[in-house]
Amino acid sequence: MVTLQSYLTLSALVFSIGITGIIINRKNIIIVMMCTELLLISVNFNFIAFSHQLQDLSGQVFVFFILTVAAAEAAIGLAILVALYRNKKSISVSELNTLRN
Amino acid sequence: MMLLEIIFYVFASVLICASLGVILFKNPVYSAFSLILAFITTGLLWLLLEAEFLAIVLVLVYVGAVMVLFLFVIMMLNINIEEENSGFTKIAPIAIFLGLVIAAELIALFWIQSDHFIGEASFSSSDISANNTLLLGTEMFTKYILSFEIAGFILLLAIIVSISLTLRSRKNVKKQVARDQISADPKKRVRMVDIKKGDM
Amino acid sequence: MIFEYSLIALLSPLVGSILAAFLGKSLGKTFVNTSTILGVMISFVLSCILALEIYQTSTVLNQNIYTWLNIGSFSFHIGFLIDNLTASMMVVVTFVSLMVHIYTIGYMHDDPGYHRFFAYISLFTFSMLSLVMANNFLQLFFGWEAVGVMSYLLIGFWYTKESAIKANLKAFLVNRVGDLSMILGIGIIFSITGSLDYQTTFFESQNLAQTELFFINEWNISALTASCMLLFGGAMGKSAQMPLHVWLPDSMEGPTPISALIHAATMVTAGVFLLARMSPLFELSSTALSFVLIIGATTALFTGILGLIQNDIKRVIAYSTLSQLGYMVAAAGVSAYSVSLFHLMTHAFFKALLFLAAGSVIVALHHEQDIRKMGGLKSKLPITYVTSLIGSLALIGFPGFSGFFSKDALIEAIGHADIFGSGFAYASVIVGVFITALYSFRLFFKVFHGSINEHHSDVKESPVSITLPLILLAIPSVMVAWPTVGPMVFGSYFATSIAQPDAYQIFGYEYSTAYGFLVHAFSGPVIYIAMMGVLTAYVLYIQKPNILKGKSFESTFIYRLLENKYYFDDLYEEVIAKQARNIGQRFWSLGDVKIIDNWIVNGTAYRIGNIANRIKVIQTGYIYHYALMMILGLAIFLGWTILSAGYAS
Repeated sequence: MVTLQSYLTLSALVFSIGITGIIINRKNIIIVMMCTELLLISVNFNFIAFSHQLQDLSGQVFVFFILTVAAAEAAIGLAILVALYRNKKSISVSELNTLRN
Repeated sequence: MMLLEIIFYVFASVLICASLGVILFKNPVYSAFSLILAFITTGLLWLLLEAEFLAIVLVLVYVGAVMVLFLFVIMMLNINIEEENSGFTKIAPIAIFLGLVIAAELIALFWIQSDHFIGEASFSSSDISANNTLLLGTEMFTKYILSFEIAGFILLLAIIVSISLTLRSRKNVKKQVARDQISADPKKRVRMVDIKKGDM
Repeated sequence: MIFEYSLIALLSPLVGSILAAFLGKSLGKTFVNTSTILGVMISFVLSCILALEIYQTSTVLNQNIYTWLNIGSFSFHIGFLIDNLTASMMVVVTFVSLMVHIYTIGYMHDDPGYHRFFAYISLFTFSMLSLVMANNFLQLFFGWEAVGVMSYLLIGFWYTKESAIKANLKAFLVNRVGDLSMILGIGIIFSITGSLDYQTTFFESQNLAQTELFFINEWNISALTASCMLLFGGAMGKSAQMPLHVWLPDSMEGPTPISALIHAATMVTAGVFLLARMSPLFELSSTALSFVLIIGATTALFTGILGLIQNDIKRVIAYSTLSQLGYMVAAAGVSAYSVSLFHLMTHAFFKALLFLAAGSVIVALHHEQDIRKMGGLKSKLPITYVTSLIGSLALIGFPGFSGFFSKDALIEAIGHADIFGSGFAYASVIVGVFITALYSFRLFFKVFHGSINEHHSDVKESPVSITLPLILLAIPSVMVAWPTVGPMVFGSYFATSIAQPDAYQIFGYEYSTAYGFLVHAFSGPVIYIAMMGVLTAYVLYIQKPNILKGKSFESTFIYRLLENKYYFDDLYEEVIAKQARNIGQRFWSLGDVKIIDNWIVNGTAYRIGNIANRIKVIQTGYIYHYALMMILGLAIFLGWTILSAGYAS
């Protein structure tokens, strides 16, 4: 039987995969941005599941807005990435350490 | 219903595999494709939850626009696949352990008081027999109209920010700068000089 | 009216002192001495009026002027207790202070610290008055400390002289020991009665006597005895009884006027005043009275002996003061408080006279103080000679002079008592009479008789500002006893202030007139012993002065013992002072330098830098490290929430 807990479990798993992805990644920053998208869809998943459970449409409205904002954020993040690439000619994570002590 | 369960478990496992693929592939293009797969699967799962409008919007917006943007950027930046520092960071074991801990905690969080969650995610209980899109639209344009407008504004902001961050002007091309044109002072453009005969 | 007068009498020396202190430097000498003398003169006149008023009407004023502090159920005030005892003390203090003020005009004329001196002695007068006018222990203690401070400042008046600095510190520290004991005594009283007022304490005196304090398991002591002995400890410090007497001879480093004012007439008598004031308490404890008696008698005898070999003119008089203080304290010890106070009053006059006369001699000889270099000044300094003679005769108790009445009454009272220690005390004071006569006339003969030293052939008498106080003090030295001995000693003059048994109990007889007392005294041994002392001095120093010069007198054990003042100073130095300095040194090097400076202050700074250096490593600059920390925090929070919410079934 597919209960609410199943959906929430799924969402939790995707969330943790996204988090792990941010930390273990060393290749480039685009992977970080993609993991951020993963986090966002897991949260959206949660909202939709609860909205269905409680028969309240506010959850879906909220998901709508999260989608909007996530899209905007992805665009801006990529713009920053491009600017960064132009300055440093590399997008490897291990070279971004100028905030070092 | 058995069908429901089969569909759910199949797509759920596809989603998980796709997420793992995002973080584990070496080639960033493959990662992007995995993410696309994850989005599509998510959309399908939302269809199961009777949120069809959002499922379609997810595919249209995210896959159609955002992931395409990602791929553009990946292609544009010459990313060397065979870099030295490919692979995982040194703190990977801690991170993996931490991820598992977080997953366990999040799952435990709703198994603690699980007697409150009676729900079944089935088709039967809903009396939203009407169109999901219609209902969503009604809800959004009445109660959440302000948030809607602000969301539009955020998108405008994103456009402006992206352009201003990445616009480069080519250096040896003359262009019109409207500001200077408008603020030109006529008195400084023309200078009357009195030239007498014989001065040169 | 009594209240207003006493308030003005208390505050006018203070006003004079402040004016002299702050405006003296700019406004000149005349301003300084007029303002201060005016302040003290107002005080003196008002004190006399008060004394007469109280004598005639026998009123007692006990009033709180100002509540200083209220803590819970305890309140501390400033207040007046004006009765016969206070009024007599006020008259004595202000009169001697006035004389000293006038004297200082001439004595300190060339001193650059002129206005400072006047400010100090006026301030001292204020402190002493606040001590005697107090109606609670707090104000008493304030006055006590204030006179101690003024004594410190005045002994070290010439602060560039190293011996003066040593002396004033010594005085202050020895006084401090006494003050510690006094605070303990006051504390015991306060803790049991809950109030610092005299009146409350006296009402509760029976209660105090019953309360027992436990020291060790079986040895307990009544609170009253303990507090009386501790209060007397304070009196020992201030009135220079043995063993806390060591500061008084060294206090002669200060200028002569203050030796007269402070260390003869007023401050050192504060201890005796305390004993008289606390008489209701002391009467209930015979242990404390015996203690007082023995200490007083010991002081009277042994310090008098020390006066025999001194060669500095002021030191002789200082040891004389010590001895007379011992007499006063011994009289209090046999419950003859009125006699003690009477002797205090007469002693104030003639001792101040003697000091001022010594000062006159010193000034006339251009600051020569060694009596071995003096001699034959009888014809050169006539007024000083006559007044010194009067003072010395009063001191030894020559019949008719004021000192005679007080000393004889004293010795009679001691002779008649029978508490523990009174046999020893009687023997001491009788021998003391002989010694007193001997040293005072030794001084007199050495300074004024004999052959004149050729250096001093051109000295002349001191100016009138110096000799006027001498004359004014000589008059009471002769006369004051005649009208006052009746009521004070035998009568009920002090009845409202002092709890003492009546005259019959003390003396075994009752004489109400001075003349009767005079006649009675000739039947006692005291006068004759005094005469023998004078005769011995005459023989040793005038007729056959070579007796003492030839022998190896100065190398005998007794002489060396006396010369080193019974080795008290050395004992204190070795045992107490040196150890105290060692402990202080140890505390400084270990506690202050090592612990506080190195470990805490420098150490904290160093440690912070050290720790910061190590923590600095966390700032790697890599995003994924930061992300890891964030997620770690999140995981901890979540875990905590889950664990505190409990597990599901």
